[in-house]
Amino acid sequence: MGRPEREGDEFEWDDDFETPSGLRRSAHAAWQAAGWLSGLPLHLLLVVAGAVAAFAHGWLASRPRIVILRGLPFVLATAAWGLVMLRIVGVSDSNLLVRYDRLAAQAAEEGNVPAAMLWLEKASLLNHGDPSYVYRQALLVDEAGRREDARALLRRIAPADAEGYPEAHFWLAGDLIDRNLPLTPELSRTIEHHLQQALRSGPLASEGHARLGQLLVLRGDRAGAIVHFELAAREKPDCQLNLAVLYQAQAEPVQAARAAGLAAAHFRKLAGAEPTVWGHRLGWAQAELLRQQYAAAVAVLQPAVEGAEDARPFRELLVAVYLSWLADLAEREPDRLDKQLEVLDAAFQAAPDHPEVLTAIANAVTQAEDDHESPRFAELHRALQRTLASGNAPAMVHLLVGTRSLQAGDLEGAIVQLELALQANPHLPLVLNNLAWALAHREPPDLERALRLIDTAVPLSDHPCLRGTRAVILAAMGRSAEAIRELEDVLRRHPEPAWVHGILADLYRQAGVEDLAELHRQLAAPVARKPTS
Amino acid sequence: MSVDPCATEIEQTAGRRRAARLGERCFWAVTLSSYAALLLVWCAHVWPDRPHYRFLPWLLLAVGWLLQRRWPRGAVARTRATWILGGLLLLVACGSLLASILLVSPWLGVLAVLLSLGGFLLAGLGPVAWRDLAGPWFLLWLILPPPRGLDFRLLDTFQRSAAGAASGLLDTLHVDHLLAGSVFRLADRDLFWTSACGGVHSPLVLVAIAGVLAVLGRRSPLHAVGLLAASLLVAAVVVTGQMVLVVLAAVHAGVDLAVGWPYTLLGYSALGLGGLLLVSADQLLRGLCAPVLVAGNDDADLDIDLESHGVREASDPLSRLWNRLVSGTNSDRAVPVGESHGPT
Repeated sequence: MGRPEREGDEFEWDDDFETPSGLRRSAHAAWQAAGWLSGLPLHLLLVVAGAVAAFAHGWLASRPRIVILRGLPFVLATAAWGLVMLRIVGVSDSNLLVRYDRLAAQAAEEGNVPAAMLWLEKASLLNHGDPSYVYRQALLVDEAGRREDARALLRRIAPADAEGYPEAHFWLAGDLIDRNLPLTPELSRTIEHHLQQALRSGPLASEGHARLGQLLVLRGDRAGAIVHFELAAREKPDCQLNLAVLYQAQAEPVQAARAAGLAAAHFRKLAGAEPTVWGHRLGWAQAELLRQQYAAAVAVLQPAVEGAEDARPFRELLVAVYLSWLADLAEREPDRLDKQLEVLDAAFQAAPDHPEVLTAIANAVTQAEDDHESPRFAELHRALQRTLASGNAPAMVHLLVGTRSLQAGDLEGAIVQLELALQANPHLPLVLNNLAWALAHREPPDLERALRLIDTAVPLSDHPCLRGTRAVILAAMGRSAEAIRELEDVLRRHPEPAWVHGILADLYRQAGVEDLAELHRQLAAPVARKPTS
Repeated sequence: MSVDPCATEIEQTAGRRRAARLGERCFWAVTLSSYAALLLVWCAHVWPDRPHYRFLPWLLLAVGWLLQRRWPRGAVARTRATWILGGLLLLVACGSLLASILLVSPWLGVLAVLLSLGGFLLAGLGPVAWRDLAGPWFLLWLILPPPRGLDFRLLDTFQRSAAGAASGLLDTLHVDHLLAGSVFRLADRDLFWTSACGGVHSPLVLVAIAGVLAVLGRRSPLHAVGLLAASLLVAAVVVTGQMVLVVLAAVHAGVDLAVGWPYTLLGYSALGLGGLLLVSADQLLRGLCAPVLVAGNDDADLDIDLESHGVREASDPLSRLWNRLVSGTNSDRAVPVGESHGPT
């Protein structure tokens, strides 16, 4: 073993690997081998680099400069083209989008629809076919009166059987509803699909629910409609009105009252904020009607009836309020005939020729006619007398009393009351008709005045009874042909034509046409010559 | 009078050779002319259906001129290899012709024409003549459109790309417009581009010009490929420029250059510009692909050297490789004066 024999001796390595000198020789050999191994690639690398450098030097030195210079136009042209392409790639689509959006808005403002359409299409392309631009295009062409083009555009982005752009779905649903097409099951499904798709858009959700509710009402699905209206009512309080109607139809009075109260509060607030927008009063009055607050409903509607440019819807609702009030009074306070007459008179004042008001008056008369001895008849008689005695009886009371006298066969008494009614209001068709009838049947008859009165009444009302009265007067005047023509017209429109057949039978008999007279007699069973409806 | 038997025999042999050569020429003439009708029918077929191939007559004229110019004047030296290769080409041509008859395919018929011509050049004229005539033969392949309407699809893609580039450039120039299919729509008018790549406006015209330039200059294969690629780039530049010019003229001057004679004139002008750019590209490639020469001429104008003096090639392996593969020169000889750097 190679070990230092004594201290201070030089350190020696033995051939053996176990001695320090052997290890040193081995390490040296390994170092040399590693040097050779790493040197070879380095050497090769240097050789290759040298060759490449020589080639590059030779290549560069050998280039024919003039020939290459002749290639300069090509290099410049392609470089310019490449730079332009790089610039194009670098141009932000969003900047272009803003530019074309602005152009489209400007063109639309100027009324240049084709240009606006063009720039919107470009913006849509820049925004990877964003359907909102197609939607705006559709709105533009719709504004320009090209509804069918608008539909075609929107069908592209809102198909009837797939998911599309919610706003377009909503527009298409509204369009289908507004067209008043017959609601076939297929159409109903299409509208429902469009509305369901529209619900995906937050801002449209409440309106979509409201329309879905309306659709389900049309389908007769009240429970489903209530669900949608409840959802819609969170943001659209006016839907509370629909809810009130539906709850009432579903016999849920508590819910109906709650919804009607909320609707009334909402519309009251609106009417307070915008007093000249009469439309709010319609909703408000409907809500009050649903709450059975008739006086409040009348108070809401009266200013609109007087102030609105088109008062018809308000007058219609007012009549509905009065009639509901009347029905409610008749049910809850059947003995308070004074009050009922008051309401009936108010209804008559509001709409003197309204068929339902006239029917109510006729009902009052008929009721008395049916049972002269009944306590109710007596009560009605007393109520009418009290009103007449007060000295300021309205035209309706004179009409009622006059008509009752006419029914009782007291023609002179009837004429007095009807003349008073005519003085109070010379434009009431019912008064004119009944007075004409009475004058034609008194002894001696005043046919000329009767004809004048009925000729005044006919243009005021389309009621077939007026034409019937006119025919009777004409027949009495001996103008049978005119009377027959008048009655044939009545025959086509009157729901109960038996009395018309009776008069026609008389007229044909007078004219000597027995077979037709017999035919009409058979049809006129029982003949009733009724002056009023 | 005595007749030298040797002279007689020589004369007879020469006569037989002349007769054999004449017979051979007649054979090839009849064989090739049998295709002429087919070629004419093909041209008549292509002219109306493929407006982008209306350069065919000019190409055929150019190929004919090149073939005539390079046709071997002396005796031909054939080898077994060219016989075999030529024979194979003729066999394939026969098969293609048969298929064209069975499938009623004019395309296969024209393929047979091209293969037959190649077979004849190889088998009939030998390797030396082939080296001169292969270029025009390859050029002739431009008359054959790619199968299955691929040329239409490629052209459509090209047109769309060029129109897209033009549209982008117009947007950069703040010219408000909409590119809708083949129409540039402005606020007040539409500019149609249905024939943007037909007739003189076809990018294939520039490709054909590039091919003629490469063959005419006997460029190396790599140079020729580069030139063909450059022709596509030039076509893109030219067509894009045309489109932009037409829109700018409409917007700023109210002139519609997309119809009638202005459009034709514009097309010829663009073609002229494209041709000049191609010549420039050819020169650039010529300079870049030039052989690497011996050192010591660093300061010399090598263009002058190449044109007027023979100089030696560099001897290092990379330079020799470059000279052989890229420049197409023969490594054992000096670069010929004023000649090409090798056969195409």
